Amino acid sequence: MSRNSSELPSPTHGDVILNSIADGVFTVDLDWNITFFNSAAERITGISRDQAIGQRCFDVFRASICETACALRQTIDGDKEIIDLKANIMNAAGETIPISISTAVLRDEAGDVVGGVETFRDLSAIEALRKEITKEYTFEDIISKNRDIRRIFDVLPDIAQSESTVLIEGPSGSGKELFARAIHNLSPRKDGPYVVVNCGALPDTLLESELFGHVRGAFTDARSDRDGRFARASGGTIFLDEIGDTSSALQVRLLRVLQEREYERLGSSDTVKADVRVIAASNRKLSELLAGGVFREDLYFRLNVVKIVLPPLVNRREDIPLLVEYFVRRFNLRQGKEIQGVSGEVMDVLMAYGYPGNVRELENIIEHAFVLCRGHEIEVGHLPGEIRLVPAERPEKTRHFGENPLQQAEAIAILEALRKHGGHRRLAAAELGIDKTTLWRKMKKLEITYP
Amino acid sequence: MVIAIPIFGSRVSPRFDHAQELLLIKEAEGRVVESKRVIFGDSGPLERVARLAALHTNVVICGGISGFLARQLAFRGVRVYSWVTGEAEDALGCFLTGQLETGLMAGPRGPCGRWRLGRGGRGRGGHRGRRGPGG
Repeated sequence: MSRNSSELPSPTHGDVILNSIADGVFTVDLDWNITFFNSAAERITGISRDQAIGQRCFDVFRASICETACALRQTIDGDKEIIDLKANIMNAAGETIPISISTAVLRDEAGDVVGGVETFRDLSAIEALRKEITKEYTFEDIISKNRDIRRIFDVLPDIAQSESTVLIEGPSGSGKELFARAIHNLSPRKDGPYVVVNCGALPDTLLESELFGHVRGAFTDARSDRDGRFARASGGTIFLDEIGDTSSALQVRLLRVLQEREYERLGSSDTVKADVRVIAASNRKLSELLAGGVFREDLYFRLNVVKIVLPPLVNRREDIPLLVEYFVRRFNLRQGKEIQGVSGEVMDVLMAYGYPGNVRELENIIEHAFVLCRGHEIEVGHLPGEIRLVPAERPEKTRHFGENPLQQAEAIAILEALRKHGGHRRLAAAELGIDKTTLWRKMKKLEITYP
Repeated sequence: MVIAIPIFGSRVSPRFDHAQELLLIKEAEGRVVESKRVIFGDSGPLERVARLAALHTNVVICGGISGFLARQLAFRGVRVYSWVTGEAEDALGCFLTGQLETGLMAGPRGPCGRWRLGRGGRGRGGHRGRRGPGG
């Protein structure tokens, strides 16, 4: 078998055709050196044609199957065509891209095998939708370049691998459930069930029955035995959201599950073993609830084996552009639109906004804008009215103060505080920790007006 | 010093998370004092990180690696030279002579090229752009 790449047909107008298609295409000689690399292959891998040609295919393509089940090797050595084989590659940015691969042999005019051709399709969009349905998120799916979140990333894999109970604190919409899911999906229990219970959404008696189950006759409408969420989460993870909203009586029962790893169904004296990992979350600081006697100290210490505190979005503004880009991509997929992004003015407004609803609110804002946007870029007019600033308050007004970042930050903080308190200057000043007259003086200096 | 190179045959493996084997080298005063192959198999990415930490690895020389895993290694005190291509022995030679860099193409007589920074930002500290939902 010849191993001379020069025997491959020289790409001419076939080249043009291959460069015009959406699927990646590359060819190799019999030494696995890349001899052709089309435009879509450049786009999907992030590697230019100049860099790719002449390199070993596995050093460029970096597919999950390169070492163990190379599709081209099967085709060239076994003369077996591969069609739509699912795999993933790592692009130049270190991102994993799901793809489907098809291969065929290349022969010269005499019919001798001179190499192989591989076509691959980027399945990122399909995979993103699938993840949204299955929620198989890992930490690598969480968007952040915030230092506090990155510190959490550093230790979370170890937390996930352990069996320890985890307490996640953070304001509503800060992504507590996302972290809980990611912990589950990285844990040894990942193949087991993941069960979510919002403890704040159900009345106490119903919640008790939901969590622990009941036997027939336990209460008036209990016509048959029913497993609770703890039973359904057996072998997996139970996520108890808004645990700070549970009653004292329920807290006692939860404490027993955490201490003894066992419980009784309502109306039954039989003890059931709980093979469940517990992740609890609260939008309030549980330590503060202890002081008021609203939350049991012993349960708090049982839950607080590992505590993760998620910052509000206002404390991680550097993530806003990344999140906006992500939500635009996601709504494009969902709604079949081709919106390129947001205008500079919109980004200014989004960067300055206070986000009492955190990441969830930002998502809602982008979804709202998608409904109204008919063009390719989201403009200020597409944003919900309540987040739009009156012209005098827009961040560009703060540009008037020049490039001084301290003054910019000060202006944004003042605007946020004013917005949060509906323009109430005394409350805004109290939040900022300054006197009302100091606030007035700063507003005058920074030319901030608020109705 | 313990140096680990995930390998594919005799070459640096293209993917840290899918490498089947590892070349584990003990180095002292610029010389290799011990070298052995260790099976990585199909262990998960975080298991690989934990295993390298358990092997007291100081340096990892690898091909493609996600920013997340590179950071996990760095957090455990492991210095990472990523996006390296070529023969594992050549890459080791470059390291021992102080010529190794992230993104290096290693040749028998030292560095023989370097991946230019791609559109995706390959290169030293070039892992960026997470995909997925916010939180």
